[in-house]
Amino acid sequence: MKLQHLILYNIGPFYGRYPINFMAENDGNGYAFFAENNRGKTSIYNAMRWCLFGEVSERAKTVKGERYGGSSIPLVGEGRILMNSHAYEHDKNQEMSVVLIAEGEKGSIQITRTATSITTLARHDGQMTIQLDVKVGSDELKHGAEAQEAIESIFPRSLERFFFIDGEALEEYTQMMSSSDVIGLKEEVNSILGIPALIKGDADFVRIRQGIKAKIDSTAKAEKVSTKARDDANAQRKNLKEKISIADKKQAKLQTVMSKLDETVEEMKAHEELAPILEQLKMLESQIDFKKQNLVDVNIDKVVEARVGWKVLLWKKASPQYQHYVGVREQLAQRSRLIEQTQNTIKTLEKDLSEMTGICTECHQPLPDLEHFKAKKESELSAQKDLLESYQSEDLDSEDDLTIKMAELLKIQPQSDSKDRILRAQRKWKKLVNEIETLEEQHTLLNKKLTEDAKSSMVELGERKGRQEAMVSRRESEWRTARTDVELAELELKRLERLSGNVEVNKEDYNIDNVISSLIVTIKDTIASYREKARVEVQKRATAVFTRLNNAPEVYTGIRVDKDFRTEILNSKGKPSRNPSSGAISIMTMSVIDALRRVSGFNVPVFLDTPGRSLDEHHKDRQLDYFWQTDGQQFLIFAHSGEYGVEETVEEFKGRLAKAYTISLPRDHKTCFQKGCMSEDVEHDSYNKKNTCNACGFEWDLTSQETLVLEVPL
Amino acid sequence: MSEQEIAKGSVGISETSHALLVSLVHDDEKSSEDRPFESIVEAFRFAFALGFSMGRKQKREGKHVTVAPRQFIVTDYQEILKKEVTKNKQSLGGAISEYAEGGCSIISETVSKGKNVLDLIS
Repeated sequence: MKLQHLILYNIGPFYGRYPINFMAENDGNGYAFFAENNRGKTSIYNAMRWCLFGEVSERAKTVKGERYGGSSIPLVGEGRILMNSHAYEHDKNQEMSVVLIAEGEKGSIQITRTATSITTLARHDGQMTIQLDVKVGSDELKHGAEAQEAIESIFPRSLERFFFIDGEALEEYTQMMSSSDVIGLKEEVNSILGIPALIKGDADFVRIRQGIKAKIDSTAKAEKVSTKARDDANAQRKNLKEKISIADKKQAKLQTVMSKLDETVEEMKAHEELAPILEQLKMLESQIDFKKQNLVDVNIDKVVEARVGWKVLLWKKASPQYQHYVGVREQLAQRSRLIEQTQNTIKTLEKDLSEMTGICTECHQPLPDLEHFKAKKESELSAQKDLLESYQSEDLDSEDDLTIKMAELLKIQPQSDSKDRILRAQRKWKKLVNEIETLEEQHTLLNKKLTEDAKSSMVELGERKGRQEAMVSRRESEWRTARTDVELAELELKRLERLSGNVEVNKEDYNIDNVISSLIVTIKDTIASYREKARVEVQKRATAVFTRLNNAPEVYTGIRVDKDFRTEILNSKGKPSRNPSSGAISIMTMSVIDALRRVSGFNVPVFLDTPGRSLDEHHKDRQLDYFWQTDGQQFLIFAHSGEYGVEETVEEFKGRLAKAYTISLPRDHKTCFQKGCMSEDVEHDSYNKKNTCNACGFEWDLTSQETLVLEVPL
Repeated sequence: MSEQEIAKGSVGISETSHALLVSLVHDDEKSSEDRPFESIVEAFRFAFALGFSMGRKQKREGKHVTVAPRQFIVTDYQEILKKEVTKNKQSLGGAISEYAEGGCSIISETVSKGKNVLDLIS
């Protein structure tokens, strides 16, 4: 893959759109970005990482060979962010994007990653939408995860560290390579050698084998169950046979009893003409029985009602006596009234006589015949006294005696309906007795029509029939139970047969298991073999690079890479060098990284940030001398002025340097930076803080924060 | 003879009448037979009432069977028999026994005619 264009938009210090052209006119593979610190070198480096992988991590730390990844740099928010801060703070719609255009094996590649705020001011990445579009050759435009997969096929993220090299972190690589604890690097070495695919294949096969093993185990288990079920089924067949035999015997017994019952019924048919009489007799007997049972109750009713029969009889005679007493009591009452009345009359008459004055009490006139009147009154008085005496002399019981007598009589008084009740109960009983007698007579008459022999024969047959019917019922029940047992045994047998008959041992599974097992071994062997070959190749290439870059070939003769890809610098005797110089170590690290990258076979650009940080002048030159060639992978460096001077570098690597850019702010320029002018005749206005080119008249604001990406003429 | 002077006497009945009364006592096993009385005393009471109502007295003949005095209290019937026993200078028990004997005769006659005992109260 060859990078052709990079278009930055609102990322890092780049506000607005910044197209960077990588299309060179020469065959050089070297690319350089020169800048002071904090001008945007690393931002371009990070823009490309973000464009490719959607994420930019802070520099990682390595502890005891293990790498602890830095956190992601957020797109927006507070602190360090990827988006241009001016765009973030002032633009109405916050948006940033990076477009990367390259030429690959399948043709043109265009990768566009855009982040857009979904709110007025996104405060965190969750409020940003990311859109990724990838177009490779004539393939359809891909989006999202599919697009990311397309990028991974060209530029695997697992190899990021070997193509995006941070010079400032070179010591970490060195530490990892020399550490005995090499987990971090081992993973990455595996990645760069493409071993993960094999490991994944191995894991896939292990998983497939586990599935097949599970199936085989399951089959074996089922086979075991099946074998047991077969044994059980055999036992059940025997059991079923026994049950069928029992059921057959029961059925035979039932048939025997039924045939005997049929014979009895046939015999009874011979006496068919007697049957109605017998039926009638039975009916009469049941009626008699019923009525006799009823008679017991009716008789008891009669006895209960008869309890007061004697009262009814006695009252016939006692009733007139009672009525007499009632009359006497009335007489007594009347006599009392008459006595009182007579006594009052006597009192009145006696009073009249004693108070008689000869003057009429009504008219108050003197009475004409007083003596005659007086004699008349005395006569009336005498008559009243006689009457009173006659009343008082009457021989009548006293009131109390009379009450006692009447109470005594009332003890034997029946209730008004007692007689009717007794007679009704008597009639009811009588009627029932008569009915029973009638029925018994009818029974006797009918009974006479049957001879004793016929009767006993019929009775015997009837009894026999009853016994046989009971026996048939019992035998039928037994036979049904036996049949149910048979059916249950049959069901159980079917179940066991189902269990025993559905297991087939699939030999193919065993074959596949064997094949996969072999494949797993093969893969493991292949990995081991490939790693060894790769190790030898890495060692060979790294030694070649190291030899070229090293400025003391007589001291340091090569690099040894062990099976865990730990590296050592060898001395002239081919032994590990005890105290190699830091420059030699840096060169060794670069050599190994380069060797690993080349062994990986991925032809993608290499991005080296701060390339000369750990190197002296000699090694820096050697480094560029080695990496910048007229063919091979693009090699981009992002260098500050302390590492590589623009003019010297351009001059030294003319022909191998394809493109060079400076990244600056307007205030960095004391000479005119207008393309085609570059005049040094510049007038500086410190008051207005601006510079003016006297040659072309171009003015630039020294306070401006607009980042300038200027192509260096080669 | 004043009321205080009325003798109670004992009640009894001839063996024949007693046998008749026994045959009139209820028996669960003999529901179709005319046995309308719960006990011998009740049967005796009915016979007495029947004899009294019909005005039929009869002297006892031969051996007689005494009726339990606790279950048949003669004074219960003093009011209706008072004049008679006073007049005849007879004990209450004696009068009652005679009426009972008379009642038994009536019952016997009735039964012998195929009639039922309780028909006699109609």
